[in-house]
Amino acid sequence: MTILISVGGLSKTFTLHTQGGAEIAVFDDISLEVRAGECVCLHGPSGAGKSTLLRSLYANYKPDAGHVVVQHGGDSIDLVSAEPWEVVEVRRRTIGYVSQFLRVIPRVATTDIVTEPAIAIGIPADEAHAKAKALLARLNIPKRLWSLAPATFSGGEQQRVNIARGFMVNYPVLLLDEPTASLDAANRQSVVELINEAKARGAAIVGIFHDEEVRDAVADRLFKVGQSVRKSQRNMTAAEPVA
Amino acid sequence: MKPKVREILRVKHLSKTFGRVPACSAVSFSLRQGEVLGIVGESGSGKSTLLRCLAGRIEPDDGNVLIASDDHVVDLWEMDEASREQFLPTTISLIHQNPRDGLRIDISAGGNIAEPLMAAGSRHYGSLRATALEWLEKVDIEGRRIDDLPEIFSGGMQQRLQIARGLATHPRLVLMDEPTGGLDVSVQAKLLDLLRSLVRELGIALIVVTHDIGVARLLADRLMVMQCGRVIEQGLTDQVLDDPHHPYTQLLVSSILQV
Amino acid sequence: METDFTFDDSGVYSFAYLDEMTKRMIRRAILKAVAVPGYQVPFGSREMPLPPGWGTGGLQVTASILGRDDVLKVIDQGADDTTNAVSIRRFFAHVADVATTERTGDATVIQTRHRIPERPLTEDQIIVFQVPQPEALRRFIPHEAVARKLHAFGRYGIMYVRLYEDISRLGHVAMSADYPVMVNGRYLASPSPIPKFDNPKLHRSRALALFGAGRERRIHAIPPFTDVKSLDFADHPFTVQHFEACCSLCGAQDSYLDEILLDDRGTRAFVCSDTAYCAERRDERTAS
Repeated sequence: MTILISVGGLSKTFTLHTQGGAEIAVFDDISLEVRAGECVCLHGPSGAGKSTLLRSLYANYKPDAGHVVVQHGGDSIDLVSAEPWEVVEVRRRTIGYVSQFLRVIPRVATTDIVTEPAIAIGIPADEAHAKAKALLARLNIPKRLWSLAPATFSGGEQQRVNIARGFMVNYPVLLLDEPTASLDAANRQSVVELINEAKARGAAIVGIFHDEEVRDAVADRLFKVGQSVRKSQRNMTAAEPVA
Repeated sequence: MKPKVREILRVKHLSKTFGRVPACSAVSFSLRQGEVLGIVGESGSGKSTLLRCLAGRIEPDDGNVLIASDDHVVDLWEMDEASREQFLPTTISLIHQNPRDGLRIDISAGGNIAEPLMAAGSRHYGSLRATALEWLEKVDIEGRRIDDLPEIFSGGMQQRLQIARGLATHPRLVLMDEPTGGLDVSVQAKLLDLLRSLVRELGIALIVVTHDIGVARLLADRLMVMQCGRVIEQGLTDQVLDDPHHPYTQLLVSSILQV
Repeated sequence: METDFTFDDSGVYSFAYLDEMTKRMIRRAILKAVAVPGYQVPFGSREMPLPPGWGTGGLQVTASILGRDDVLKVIDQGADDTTNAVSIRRFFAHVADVATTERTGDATVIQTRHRIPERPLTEDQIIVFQVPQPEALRRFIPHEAVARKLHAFGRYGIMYVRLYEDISRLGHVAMSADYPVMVNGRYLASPSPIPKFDNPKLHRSRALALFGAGRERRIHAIPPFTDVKSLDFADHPFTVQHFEACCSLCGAQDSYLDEILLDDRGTRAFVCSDTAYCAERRDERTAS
């Protein structure tokens, strides 16, 4: 299968100028390849740098060294060295990212928030709305909330709106940062189904799943992140498979 | 599959000094069609001066402002004044922080939208009227308000009207100076949503000067941080805000109130 | 002591009141104005023996172009016999010793306030307008420097705002006098406060039209056979006033009419504003 994400020599250190120039080394020389239809789970203790790595894959954080090459519409684009407008294009069409937090313009209706990524790439509004409604229904967002802005929703509801938004476009690459963190069993199951459907259509998925049940249901292999494993990780592209 | 993204603006080593105070020092960047660039920085960092140099209002001491015209590139400050005045209204639109600076407060809402169109040569009342109505609808102002004076509009409505007036001529480049500056927080949100959808719909390039990091995050694809007339950091908006490298940017981001 | 203030008729004044250098200066301004149709040329306006607003600009232009063989006609609102017209006519008869007339066809120079005679002017005639405000943009642009730039760049969108506002509010353009025109397709100009009824007479007129604004110190001109277009929209074309009545004295249906009250009970009549035109028509009728 085609390799959609190829990470090599990736290193990240934060320099905190506001706190006396303290330097925090997060990871060093990471290499990872993710193929189409594959789900890789970033694994490691809290603070090991899983989220930092995931954000680096989305070009949200800027690594100090290395490359993150993504297959984007027939081109290979290195997100570390790409121009901002290229990254915007890649995010618009190729990489979807679901974080734990919903960050949107206040007072915008839920359906509009969910359909926005689809409309941005030119999907007709009625088609986008139909899909948004289907997603919101699958994620058990009550119909009466669809026309409301999500600011007043519960944490779980907000997170599900965020998931609906993330799955709105059939991105070839999906990055999931604890998508099921505060969801109940039924909703977790819906998300697992969505992830497995994405895999089935050939999406390459990198995620952080703390919930063991979810991890077992979606992940094809684990990729260990953290100080202790960093050295041994070097030059390893395939991590150990899930049992 | 890959849409051709056109470069619309290229700024090279732009500098402007007021007396001995440098307002902009060797600012360089470029902007593409459909791209939204946010310029953040504290008061006096030179962001408004930069905007005015781009809008053709203040002549820079040094540097170039290159703008893509239909099939060639023009240098805004190399042109003679008459050509520039001819070129600017249909190419660049400046939206002021205070809508009263950008609107004619004593003529009707429809007249405000129609004026730049008439300046560009439109001489058909019916089509001017239709365009005005269309734009009022786009910016969420009821059509029956078309003959009302903006004087009796609320601040948010005035700002939306100013945006309609600024965009009706389909400029390639829109410059906004603190577009949500004087507005209530509740009105700001709606305006930001409107701006986002208009930028997307019309494929214009937008530069937004703001000191509000929240506005920059929601609106801009890309961010430029200015301090003392210099660009100290630029890049993807979320990258600059979530992973700032320059000490000043880190200070700026860490100073945001968390609500 | 009183004798100090009495005027001596023998050679106190230059011909036509103004001194020769002043007339030369004004003629230069006129030549420039003719060369650039519609463009307002600044000139050094002099103190005249009547207050600004009474036609000092027109007076200075007339004084500068008047020759000994000229025949002068002066009208005010179309009438030859109103105070202002009579005063100015007498003034020039006095200081320039020129012949005067009330007949439009006989005049070589016609100074006018707020009208153009009904009888078409010929290439042998010059019409001089008294202009209170030569800047058509002034209503919208208080700054002279800004207005001049708009003229220089030919950006007249703001003038159409006025038209737009009138049509949106009233269904038609409400300006009935001093209706702005584009001269020679280049400069926006004020035709002086003539009724818009007279605007079409300026288009490709055979006579030279000179506009003098004394207080504002500007002269502009419309040379013979120049295109003069009143501002309008494609779907709201410029129209002139239309009168239901005809002149109650001469029966004219094609002239600009003044409404006059005849008594305290509201009886009214319409008569030609152009008194010479009306009189000539009545003379022709009695003659035939």
